[in-house]
Order: sequence, then C-alpha cells, then structure tokens
Amino acid sequence: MLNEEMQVIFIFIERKRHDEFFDIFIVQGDYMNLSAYINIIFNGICIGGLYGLTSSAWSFQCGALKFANFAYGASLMATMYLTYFGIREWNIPAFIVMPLILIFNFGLGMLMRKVLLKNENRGTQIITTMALNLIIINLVTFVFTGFPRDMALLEKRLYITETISIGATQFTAFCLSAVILIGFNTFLKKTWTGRAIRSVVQNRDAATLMGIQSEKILDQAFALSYLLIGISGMLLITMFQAEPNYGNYIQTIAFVVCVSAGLGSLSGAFGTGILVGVISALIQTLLGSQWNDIVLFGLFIVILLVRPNGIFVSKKNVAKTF
Amino acid sequence: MKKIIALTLSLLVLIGSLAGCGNSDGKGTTETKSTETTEAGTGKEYEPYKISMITQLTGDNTFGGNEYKNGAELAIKQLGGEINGRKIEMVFADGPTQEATLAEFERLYNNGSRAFVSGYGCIADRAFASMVDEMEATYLSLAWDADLIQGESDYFFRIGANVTDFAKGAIEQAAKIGEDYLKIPADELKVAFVYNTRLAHVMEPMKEKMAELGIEAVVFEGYPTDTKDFVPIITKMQSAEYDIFIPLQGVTDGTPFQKKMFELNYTPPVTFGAGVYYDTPIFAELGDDITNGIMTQSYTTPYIADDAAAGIKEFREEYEQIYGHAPLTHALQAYGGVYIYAKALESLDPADWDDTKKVAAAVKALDLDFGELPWYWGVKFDELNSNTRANQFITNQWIDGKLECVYPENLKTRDAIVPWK
Repeated sequence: MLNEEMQVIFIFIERKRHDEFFDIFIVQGDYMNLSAYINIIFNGICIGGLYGLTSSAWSFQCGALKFANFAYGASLMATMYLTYFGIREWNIPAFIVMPLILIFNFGLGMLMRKVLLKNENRGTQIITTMALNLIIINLVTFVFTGFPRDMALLEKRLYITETISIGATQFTAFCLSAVILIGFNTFLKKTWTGRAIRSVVQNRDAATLMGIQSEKILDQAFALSYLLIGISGMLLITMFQAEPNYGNYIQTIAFVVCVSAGLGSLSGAFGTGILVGVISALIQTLLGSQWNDIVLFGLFIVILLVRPNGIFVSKKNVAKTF
Repeated sequence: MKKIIALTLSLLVLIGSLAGCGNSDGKGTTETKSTETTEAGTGKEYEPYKISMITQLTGDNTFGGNEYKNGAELAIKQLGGEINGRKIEMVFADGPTQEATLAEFERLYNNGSRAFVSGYGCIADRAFASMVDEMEATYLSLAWDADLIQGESDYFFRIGANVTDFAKGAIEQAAKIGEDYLKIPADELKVAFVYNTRLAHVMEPMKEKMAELGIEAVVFEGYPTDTKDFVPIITKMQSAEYDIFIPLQGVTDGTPFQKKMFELNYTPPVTFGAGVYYDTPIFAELGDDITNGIMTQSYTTPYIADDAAAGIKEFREEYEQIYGHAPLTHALQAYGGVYIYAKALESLDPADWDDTKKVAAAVKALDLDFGELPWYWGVKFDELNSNTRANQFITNQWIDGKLECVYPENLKTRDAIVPWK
C-alpha cells in the first residue's frame, strides 16, 4: 500500500522533472526514488531539530536578554572538546563529565555576564565577545591541538520500512532537543524565576519597582542560556567531529535560524531550525552541496526583506514572543 | 571581587593571545622553534655542508613534520654522514605556519645555509620559488601545485610529483581497475566522484582525464569544506548505479563521510580514494570493518616490492628500528630529497660545494633512472626544473589493517582483491 502511494507521488515528481525549469536544476538527484527523498527529509528534520536547540540559546541571549554574544559558537565548540577529552581521553565516566560541563558552562555564562556583558552597549558587547571568540578558538587549539576529534560512535539505524530509516542518535538528539526546549519554555512560563526573567525582559524598570532584582535575574538568565549551550555541545559531539572552527559554522547556522525565526522566539527557532535542516538537505540533494550556502543565504535575504522581524514574530517587541 | 574577575580575565586574554604564537603540544616555546639539530659525520678538511629543512615540528601537523625530519635524518645516517670525505649535516627548523617558515628560512640563510629541501606541507614553497634565485640558494621542492614554477630558474627544483600527473594518474588507475578486475572498458565505466571543493585543483585534471577516457561520472558532487551532513550525498550514491567510487577528501571530511556510509550500511562496489587521506594511518583508525578493501592511489611508498628500488627494504627496516613505527610515504619523500642532494654532491669536488651555482648545476644535470633511488622515482629535470621521472604512482589496498601495494606490476607486493571478499 505504502509503495503504491509512493508511486503516485513519484509520478508527480517525474512529471515535475520533465518540466523545463526543473530539468535545469534537477541533475543531481534525478535517479533517486521516493524513499531516498524521505530518508533525506527525515535526516534534515533530525539535524534541524538540533540546529533549533543550538540556535534557541543564542536567540534567548540576543533576542530576549539583548546580549550580543559572538563568542557563542566558540563556547559551544569548547564544550564539544571538553566532552570529548573528558570521556575519551581522560576516561572520566560520562555521568560525571556531563554535570561538570554543565556547571562549568553555567559558571562561564555567569562570569561573562558579570564582566564582559556588564556594559550594555551592543557595539561594545559585539566587539568584546568577538575577541573572546578568538581567544577561545586559540586556547582550544593550544590546549587540544586543531586535530579534529570524534567520539568514534557508530550510529545505529531505526528502520521504519525496509528502505526508510532514521539515525538512532540523530533521532534521540532530536527528541532530547524538543524536550529540553519545552522544559525551558515551561520553566520560563511556570516558575517564579522564569516569570521574573520574562518580566525583566519586558520592562526592566517596572520589574525592579515590583521588587525583582533585575541585574541578578539577568545574570541567572544568561548563565541558564549557557546551560543550553552546554547541552547542545554534548549532543553535537555525538554526531559531528569537533574542530576549532566548528563554532563559526554553528554560529552562522544559529544566525540564520534565529533571525529568520525572529530573535527571541524559542519555539520559532526550533521550528526554523527544522526548516533549515530540511531545506538544506533538499538543496544538497536536488542541486548539489555547492549550492547549499548560496540558496540558503539567498532565502535568508528574502525572508529578511519580506518579514524583517522573522517568520514567527509579527511585532517588534520580541520579548513578548517567548 | 570585580578586580579579581577583571584580573583573571586579563590573564585569560593574555594566555589566549600567546596561544596563537605557541605550539600545540604545549611542550615547546618559541626558543625551541629556533633550536637546530644536526647530524654530524666524520669529514675533516671542510666545514660541514648543511642541508636545511624547515618543517612542521609543532602545531597541527607534527606527525607529518616529524616523518619528514626522520626521513631526512635517516638519509644522512645511511650516507655515513659524509660524501667524498666532507661532512654533511641536516639542519632542522620548525615551521608550523607560512610566516614562521619564511622567518626560519631567513635565519638559516643568514647562518650560512644554501641548500634547502621542502618540509611537510611545503607551506612556503611558492614564496621560495620566487626568492631563491636572487638569494642563490638551492631549493628542492616537494610541492605539487600545478602553477608552482612560473618560469625558468637556476636554483629552484620540483623533485616530486605534480598535481596534474597525480590527478590524471588516479583516473588512469581507476580505469585500469575497471578493465582488469571489473572487465569494464574505460569508455563504459561509470564512477561516483565526490570531492571537497578545497581540492578542486586536483579535481579539475581528473575531470579532464575522465572526459578523455570517456568515463562517465554518474554522481559528480563537490561540497564545501564546512559541510557536516553527508547523508544527502551518500543517499544519492546509494540510488545511483556506478562501478567505482572516487572520493577526494581530507581528514575533517573523509572520516565522517566514511563513518556515515558505514552507519547507513552502504558499501560502494569499489572505493578508489585519490590519495590525500585514504592512505594515512588516521584513515586506518576507522577500523577494518570500514577500511578493508578500500583502494587508494599514492605516491610511491616504503611498501613497494623490495626489488623495485635500490635500498627500499633497508630504508623501511632501519626506519622502523630507529623510530619505532612503520614509515609513511612522507618520510620516504624527505629521504628521497636528501638523496638527490647526495647524488649531486657526489658528482662534485667537496671544494666546490660552497659554490651554490655549481651545486645547482649538478642537481640540474642529474639523470637517474626509475628504481635507482629508494623512493623508486628517477630524476631528470625539464627546462623548468620539474622532475619528469616523478610521475609513477601506485595503487594500495587496505587488507586486514595493512596497506598493500597492488599496482603497478613491477612495484606491487600482492594482487588486489576486487570485489572485496
């Protein structure tokens, strides 16, 4: 039955292929059957979910808390290296390494907020964190060398049908990303600290007048965002190699995802992350990998022109969106 | 508290800034970089003749850098530390970056070095190609760039292979595998060609050769260096019908690519890696399940047939004995470079060695046949000083964790297993 349905859709795609416009572009994937496309889309969804998680931390920092953190990618990359070295090289059990890394990240976030991001001038923040980005990259290269590190985990496949499968690690990471983001959203909406964060973000003066210690709350919120970075880094190292410039790659993705979604929108970042993952996979399949950045960033410009506040944000006051 | 935090952060900034200047193993300092090590011989009448090598002894490529150093050291040792009664010695300097390499060249030159051989990565050889004539210093380059030599030179020599020969050789060998083992003539052969766009300069001559032989690329996929997700490319390969998969990749992409193919439970009919990564120990670390059966083109390696090249067995055995691990091609390259100097110096009176014009002329005049040197390649320079006898490549196959030479006939140590058992 499934095969028959696939056949119908496949005929549709075949017709499209004979369209002159498509003939120009569909060169790379013209011999692929439908299950191949489904596999690619599933893969894009899973990777996109992870992009969503990594991007939402940045979205929270930049959009909601209004801290321009350009050391975000490097911090994430450093987390990947620490996870790798902790578990693989120093042979510390994962259940010890992981909380330690989270504590480290929380501390780093707190320190950054108290020192580097004390000055609320965005220009200063951008320059300072860009410098920190370079420092982290060089420190990692100095301490761990620039050699790519890999957890050497071989991913198992979960078979949905005989020909359609999904990576077990990718799927787990996707589910975890979703759970973590839902949990974080719930924390912001249901707990006192979460509400305090939201109120400070919405109107700091009013929040202060209501007895909230705004500065302290912002410190905590920023440190919390570093927890998300820590979790993202630990998930990413299970699937990708860590290398000193990995952070630049993920920062670019985060930038596209967050700005497209609308800064500050966490659920939007997750959704857009998935969208970016799928679109990216389809571009690579249909047009070829070399077209990926060209088309992806082209779409990004179009989104910015059509919806300057992002796909999921209609009002300028982004604080209200989360 | 604020002061303490500010002080801590300032220290971090300082450490981070210094990190860029330091080495990556955390042991050496800038002073270490300047340290020269020498291999003295037993000559009497003249100052020892220095052959200098600036190679990556610190930084990200210490493994390759040290292979080069070891190979050159071993050459001096096997030459007995002297030629025609005059001592020869190797001078090594650390060049982890292009800037450091150029600075070290300047320093060594000012200390009297006039004979140089490439270090691992050949990272400043393009600059040397335009410098050494004016400085009257002989430079034996192992760089493979197609446009390395821009014009006639008296002092700059390309002693190794060039990328065009390498790339075309890879396609020729892929065609040979098709004909000999798959019984498919070249003009009916279908390949899946996947490459990192960073290596487009290797891909272009390969593409030309494929067109010349009538080989069809069913999958022809270039991807940017920052590509992390290889599932779309592999899925395309899975859906295509082809005979040989030709990847052109480095460590950062080759490892995740091969891992992902394994995870997707996909094995191409034949994999023929075009060198670069597929013949390295890093690739071997992926394990036999992934590497077994994979073929790769390479420069000549220490593992060609013992009788193919004079001294190859001695090189291999003594290297392993001294350095505790089997030598890589890189060590053999550096070893070959020093031997070319040795052959040129042999033809001169030691009193003339300090005349750089005479040394360069002696290098230019060399006429060594294939197999006369341990690295198998011969030496005969064309009008632009490019070695015309460094164009023989080999095909290796990973067989149970060991890289075996399977092609050509005169160099192979065993037959290829195609298709893999």
